[in-house]
Amino acid sequence: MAEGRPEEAMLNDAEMSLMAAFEARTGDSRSTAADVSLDAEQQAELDDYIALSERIDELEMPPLSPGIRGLVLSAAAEQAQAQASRPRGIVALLAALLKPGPLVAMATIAALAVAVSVRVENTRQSSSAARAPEMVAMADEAVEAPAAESELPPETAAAPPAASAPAAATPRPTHTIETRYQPMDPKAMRAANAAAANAAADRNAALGPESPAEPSPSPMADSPAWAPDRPSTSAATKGRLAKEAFEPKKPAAMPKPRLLAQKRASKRAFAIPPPPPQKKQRHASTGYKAAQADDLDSLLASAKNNKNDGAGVASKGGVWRGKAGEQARVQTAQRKPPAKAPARYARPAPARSRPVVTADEDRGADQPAREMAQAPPPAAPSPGARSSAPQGAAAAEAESDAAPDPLAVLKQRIDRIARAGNIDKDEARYVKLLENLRDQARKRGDKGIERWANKRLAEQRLKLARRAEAQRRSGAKAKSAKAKSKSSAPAAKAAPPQRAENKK
Amino acid sequence: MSRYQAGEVQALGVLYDRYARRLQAFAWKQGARRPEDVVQDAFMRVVRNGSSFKGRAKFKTWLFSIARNLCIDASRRDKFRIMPSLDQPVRDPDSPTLGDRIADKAPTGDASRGAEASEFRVALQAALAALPEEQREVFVLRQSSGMAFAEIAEVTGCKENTVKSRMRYALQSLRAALADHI
Repeated sequence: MAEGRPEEAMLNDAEMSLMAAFEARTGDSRSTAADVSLDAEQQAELDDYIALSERIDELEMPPLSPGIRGLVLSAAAEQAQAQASRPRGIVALLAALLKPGPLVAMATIAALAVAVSVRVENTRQSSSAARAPEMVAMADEAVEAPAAESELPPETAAAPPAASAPAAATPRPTHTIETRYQPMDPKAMRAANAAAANAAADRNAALGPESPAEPSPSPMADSPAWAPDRPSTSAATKGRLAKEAFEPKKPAAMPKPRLLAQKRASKRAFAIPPPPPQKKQRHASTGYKAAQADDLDSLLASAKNNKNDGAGVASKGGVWRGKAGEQARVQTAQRKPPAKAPARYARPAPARSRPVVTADEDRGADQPAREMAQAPPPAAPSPGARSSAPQGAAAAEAESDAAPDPLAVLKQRIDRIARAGNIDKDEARYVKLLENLRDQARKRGDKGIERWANKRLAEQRLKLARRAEAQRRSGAKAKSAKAKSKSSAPAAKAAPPQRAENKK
Repeated sequence: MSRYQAGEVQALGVLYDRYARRLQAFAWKQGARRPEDVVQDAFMRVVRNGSSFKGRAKFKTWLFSIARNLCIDASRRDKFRIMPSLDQPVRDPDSPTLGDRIADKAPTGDASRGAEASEFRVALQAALAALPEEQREVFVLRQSSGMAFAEIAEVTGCKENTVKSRMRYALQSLRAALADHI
């Protein structure tokens, strides 16, 4: 190597020719083609290289051990056997599919497809909204419809008071996506709005002057965008006006305690079975001990009375139960107009021939708390309405406000008994209450209350055992005193067993 | 190789007979202390990974790539290994050296030719050891495997012209170092 020359410096053409000639005359791909022209000096150099290469090739290497060949071939035979015994078919196909490469590719393709479809859907919706504003209104209506679907059977639900014939005749919008884009006849829409206004007026009249006046069921009746015969309004302006008119106003913020109470109520509906509304039903259906049931029912009833001064609870966690619940539901439905909600929620009422059901009734116990929080607050009942339907008012309050936790009430009751020092008066009842509380807590999975009840029970049992022991001792003392009085000798014999008992 | 992949074990025997000696020479020229180990390990890797050989390159290129990697690994390991010197006395200073003890007492064949070959072998080893690693690698691959420059470029991962350049400088250096033996 030339000194000072970089090792990988580019070769000039002559050197490249020399290497090409060397490659052609040595190695496995030797060729006799002498198409490379070299000068004399390069030819001599090439001859030296070839001689060196041949000299190196002549060098004999020590022979390889034959054991290496045998080892390699036996390993190859084992490998071939293993491959032959390897299961093929579905397993191999699955293994190939479950490699990360195909999985990632499939996931990417799926994500892209979803993104494109969503994009196309959005574009179509926006373009259709710009073309026909009434379609936007119908879309809102159709989206809202499933949430407002009544869960009650038709015979138990209260019928709408004075549902007018046009409203009943108006076809109810279905919930499929396709119907969202069907244009609505403006004349039919106006007729429906008028019918809704009439129905609201009838309901307000039936509820009396104290009940809050029902707002206009739909802004469509007042909206200028729904006047179809306005020649000066262009389609785009119509769309903008319709959007403004139907922009869902934010529902009034629900007070926080009420929200929490609703959440708690829905949670409780899932957590523990609610106590029965009436004693007789409970006794007949479950067959609990009468005394036990009496305790629980009396506690629950007292708690409810303290809370809302109503006539018992007909609803628990938003689900109506029993005859009283049914009665309360009907009365609440008559008392509460459904159209206290913002326009978005109240609009489609006349168009649907559905029974009037309050928002609270609409949402059952299995509606998530989030939906309940988003729902419009129910109309505040007037004092007159409350006096006319005390059961319904109590039920509504018990439903909307959090019903007192039966376990907490029971615990408080037990605490009160213990603090008042009344345990000794009715020990059996106290123990029963504790056992009841423990069983309820165990059912609900409330470890804290269960531990608390167990501790109290253990204390009470210990107290009973001590008392029994003391009674036994006093009896023994009396016996020994009698024996002493009779003769001193038998008394001396009777002493050791007493000491033994004392030790125990 | 395709026959071996189809399950014919004897095909591997043919490949072994064709390339084992070349691999041994390659490993020796690369400076491996146990060329036989390199040969065995290279063929064992061929057996283990035979199913993954797609045939995009020649089998010879693949095999020598494996051997090259094994030589690199071996040289890295040998850097930390202390080897006894052949000139070092076995026990006390007056005792024979290790080289004297392991020398062949009854060499076969022409003694003068054997001595000459041995001298050339030592000189070649010294000249190869003096070469830069890249040049030695290219030279040994070309000399032992007979691969074309393009294939060597594929094995070493550099351009063909670079391979030629390295080969040219390696030949120049070896010619100067072994001028007496040519």
